[in-house]
Amino acid sequence: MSKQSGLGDQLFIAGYDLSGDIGSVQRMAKTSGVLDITAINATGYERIHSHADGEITFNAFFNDAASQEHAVLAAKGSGADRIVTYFHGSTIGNVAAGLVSKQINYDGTRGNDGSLTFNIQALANAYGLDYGQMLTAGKRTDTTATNGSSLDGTASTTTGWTAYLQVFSFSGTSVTVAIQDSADNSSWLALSGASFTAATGITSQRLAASSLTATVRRYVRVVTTGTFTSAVFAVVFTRDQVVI
Amino acid sequence: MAFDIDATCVAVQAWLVDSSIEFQDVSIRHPETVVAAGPVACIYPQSMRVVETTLTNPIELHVIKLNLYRAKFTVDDEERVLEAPRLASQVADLVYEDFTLGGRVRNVDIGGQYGEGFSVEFTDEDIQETTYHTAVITLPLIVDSGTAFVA
Repeated sequence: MSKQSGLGDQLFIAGYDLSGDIGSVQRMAKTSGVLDITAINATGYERIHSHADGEITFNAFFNDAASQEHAVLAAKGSGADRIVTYFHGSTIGNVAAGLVSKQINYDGTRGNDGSLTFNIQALANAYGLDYGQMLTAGKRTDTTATNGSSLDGTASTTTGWTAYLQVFSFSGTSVTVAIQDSADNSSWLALSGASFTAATGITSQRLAASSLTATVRRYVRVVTTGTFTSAVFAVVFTRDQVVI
Repeated sequence: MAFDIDATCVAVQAWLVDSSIEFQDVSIRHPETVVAAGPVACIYPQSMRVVETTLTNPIELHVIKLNLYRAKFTVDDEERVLEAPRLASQVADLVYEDFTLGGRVRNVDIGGQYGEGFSVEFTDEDIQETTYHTAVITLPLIVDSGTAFVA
């Protein structure tokens, strides 16, 4: 791949696609704390990482239509965790980021030229920001139980995994979104622990492997099961459950 | 469709037709034929450019010209110097009260957020041996493009 711009990217928050209202993303940070362990016999600082951290901060244009910017962001999620995922483009395998966050603010600016924009900061809660890949081509729409297209990881890994789900709309009884893996892109098994809670409406969720050394075979894909007529959702997957 | 100024002009036309201003005619054209005594509104595009992007769509600025015509003289009448400015004032009132013209128009860039704001100039124009007081209104419209980026 070559150098690329951010045109055509998407940002999803707690099951809502606000991509058309967001003018800019100021900061998408994967950080960690630092501990100073400098010994008296060292000539330079010695440091180790401490806690993982993350942040996604963005500017949005005011939009008070249903399920758009103001309706989704004004209440800051009422203090609950908000899962934020950033999709670079809309192709399976493209880079994506996921963050379990607390929305810190909803700061408006009304310029004397009439512009009305809002600044929103989402800070990581309990986990750092994860960079991974899209397991769906942006938002995916299933109208029945479906085995999605696979993503080739080129090799099996033994570093655990993390996954983020955003469900944007749903019609039916319930849908279960799950991840399967395969060694040959032909025989598939459920990835242990990678079945999201059955969704009956707009929702979002983060899952992670129970072990930092869990195995993920070479190919992965997203499958849906359940009784439904329409489910629109997106999934981010990372093989590296790196704590820091 | 990107840069769909056709739709923008049609939206402006519908907005003026539905307004309280009693135009004899509202059309999308440069007036080259007799436009009657007026008031008549002619709408035509001046320019388009992308001024911002959201993550998925460009935000475009469509600059529309509104020419408002009122005959300078009618039979046995005095020169109507203020009629074109009065028309422009009525249009400005409409803009201030209803700055989302419908369709993909997000709002009128009254304050010049992206350059020139809402403005009016006055001139006299001769069209087929009739002199018209003309108010030339610059109407910059912030428009959400109908075409999304595809990465």
